[in-house]
Amino acid sequence: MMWWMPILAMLVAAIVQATWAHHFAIGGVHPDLVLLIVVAWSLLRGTREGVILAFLGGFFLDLLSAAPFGVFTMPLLLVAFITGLGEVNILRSTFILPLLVGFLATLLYYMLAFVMLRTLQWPIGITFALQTGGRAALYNTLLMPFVYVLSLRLHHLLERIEQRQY
Amino acid sequence: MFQLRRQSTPIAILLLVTIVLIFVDRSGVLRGNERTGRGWLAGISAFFTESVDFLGEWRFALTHFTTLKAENEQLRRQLDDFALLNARLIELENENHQLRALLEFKNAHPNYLLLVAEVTRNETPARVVSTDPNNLVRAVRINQGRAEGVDVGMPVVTARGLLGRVVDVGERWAEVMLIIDETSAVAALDQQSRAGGIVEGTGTGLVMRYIDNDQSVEPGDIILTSGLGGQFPKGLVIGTVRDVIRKDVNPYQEAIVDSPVDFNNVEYVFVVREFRPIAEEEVR
Repeated sequence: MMWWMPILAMLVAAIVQATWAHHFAIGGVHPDLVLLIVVAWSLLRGTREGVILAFLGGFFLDLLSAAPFGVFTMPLLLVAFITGLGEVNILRSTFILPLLVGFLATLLYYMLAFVMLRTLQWPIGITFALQTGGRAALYNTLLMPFVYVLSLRLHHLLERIEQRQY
Repeated sequence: MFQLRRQSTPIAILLLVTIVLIFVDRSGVLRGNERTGRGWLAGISAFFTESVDFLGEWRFALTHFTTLKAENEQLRRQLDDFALLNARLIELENENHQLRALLEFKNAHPNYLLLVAEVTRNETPARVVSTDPNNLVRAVRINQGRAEGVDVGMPVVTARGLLGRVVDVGERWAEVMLIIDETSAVAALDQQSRAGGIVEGTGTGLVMRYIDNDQSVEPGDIILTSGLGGQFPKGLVIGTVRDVIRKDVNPYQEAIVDSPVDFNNVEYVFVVREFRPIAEEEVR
């Protein structure tokens, strides 16, 4: 994979999330596109590539956000690391695991984001964070299959290219 | 064990980098600094929005082209022309309506030094759109910054009412924290009863808290900024009371407030660069 590809991909994903995701908001919650990509990629390609995407996506989102720096990057890194440890091998063709992981990863991500916000003296309420996290988890789970299928296709393509190179 | 350690190396490095960046940000170096990339990201966001809009418009025109293919060539062209002209007229009418409302607001508040900015764009060309990508934070980015005299702390309003406050500013952009954000608090008063309180954001709406139980607040009352604390000018519309919550055990009552501002679809805003406190009679 060319070095600039993940940078470009996460830059576009972050900008899409900042400029267009709010048009698809349901109940005050818009989809977390970058999180979904990071989770799907970590599941398919493991921790190493997952955390790199997480760092890039988090960095761009932090620059686009009014919240203190790190509120996106830190939770995304940890979510990618944990998700990547369970790198999918056998269950790649099923949707159940990505759905479950998507749901749990979103909950974890919002809990970590809440902790980060409070640590950086952003006076956010736990009730609001939990409600938002719960709604986002449901919304992201619904979108996970689409992101996962696209990631899976890209992963197969990269696998073929890598096999040809070796 | 070895594999886990090998897997942990990249995240350890990246976590360290992130922690360093957090400390750099906390030191205030990153805030409003164009070299951090916030400026060019705002530019890319604007370009992206325009490009996607353009593609959307093109696809829309193509769909109509297909539908009208059954018609004869002459009629289809006329309909295409008419559809485009009509869309343009509607857009102009909408724009005219919004600008007229802003002008009325400006005329009604001659003591404010106002600056027009655009938050979002729909069908009109150019200008920035950006909302906060974090679901836990309610903020928007506008296309006016330090170059236009915008500074941190300045109130931002729409023709319908109070929108928020500038929390970060760059050369050509500013971050506006909306009043519905969980961290937002605005000193307010009931226009009818003059009962005072604090309007706080709930993430999705507004609630007026710390209203004395002996004060009268009724559904339908209009809530205005009180000007206390000096963060906002006095007399800006915050919203209308929808419901009042009174509990005997609580010394204060609460009011659910509906803002007239559609926070998801804000286009034009005013940044109030300077204001002086106005007399109470003027509020009435």
